[in-house]
Amino acid sequence: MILFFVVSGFIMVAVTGDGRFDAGKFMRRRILRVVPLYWAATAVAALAALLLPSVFKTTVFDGEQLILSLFFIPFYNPASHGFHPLYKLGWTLNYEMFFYICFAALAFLGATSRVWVLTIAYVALAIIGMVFRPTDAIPAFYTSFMPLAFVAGAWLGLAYIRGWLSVLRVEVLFLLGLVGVFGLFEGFYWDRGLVEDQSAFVGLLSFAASTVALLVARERQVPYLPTLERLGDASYSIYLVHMFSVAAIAGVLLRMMGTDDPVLIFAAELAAIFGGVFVGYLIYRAIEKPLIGRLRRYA
Amino acid sequence: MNKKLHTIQYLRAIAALMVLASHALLYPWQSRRCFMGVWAGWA
Repeated sequence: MILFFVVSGFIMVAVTGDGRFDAGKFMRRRILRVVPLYWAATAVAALAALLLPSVFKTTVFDGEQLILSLFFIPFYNPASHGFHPLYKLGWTLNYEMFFYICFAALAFLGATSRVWVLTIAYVALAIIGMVFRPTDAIPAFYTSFMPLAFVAGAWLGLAYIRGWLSVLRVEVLFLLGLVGVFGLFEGFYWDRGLVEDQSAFVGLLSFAASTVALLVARERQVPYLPTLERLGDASYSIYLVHMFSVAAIAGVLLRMMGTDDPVLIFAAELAAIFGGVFVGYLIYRAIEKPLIGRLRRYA
Repeated sequence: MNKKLHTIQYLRAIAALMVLASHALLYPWQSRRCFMGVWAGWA
């Protein structure tokens, strides 16, 4: 998730460029890109939870939750014991939307000032969160350290549009690679990948930021891999539908096999991974891409 | 960003694959009955 946020911060700065930009147009484009598929996924989850409640463990249909979820308003979800919308993966989109709004609100500034103001604001929010530890959903959600990942991406985006990344020396790139490896190890292994944990967050953020810096700095040297690029295009669909596809594929296979054999379980996991990618790509081609094409006129 | 950086496209793909793979690998060990929300703790 952290990598998604860093990449998002990078892209927003890179696409809006150095100067001011049209905040209304920016928001329209972001909403048209993010909202339709998320609303569709939320609707499917809500309908399934309503019609087949026994299939779910921590997703319970609730009309108020549905409305809050659709409008990206964080709330405490007693079923999941967290600030999760009805369709749980949407918690990341709540942060995305927060970032877009903040970014658009600073459209009147130049890129450097915008990134500085965002940095100061998000660091201040994170400090407030750490000091006061708010418990109400909205203050608790927005005073998390999570939005700092967008800030890291925004600085990398600024470095990119200024041309700083492409002139990084080999020693610096090597160091970035080391930071990335250590960060991944720290985040996933020592802290078991719990991004709510601050130390794991620092590790995973280090990995994400150094990987973005490293790859973008060496854009010309990195081989062109059309399949991976297409998966990048489909990444939003893959992300949004994987909860359904992974659960369906792994769930059905495990039930059919009815075994505790770790090899067979691993085979089911692999099938869920490949199946999840396939289904996500299919949704991208069949729904997301044509939908974006049709909605482009409103952007 | 006049043209798409292919490295950024790769990173988007890698991010999606990392999330998907983590959830798929965790799924059998969390709960076989659970459909959604098994990843709430992870996510």
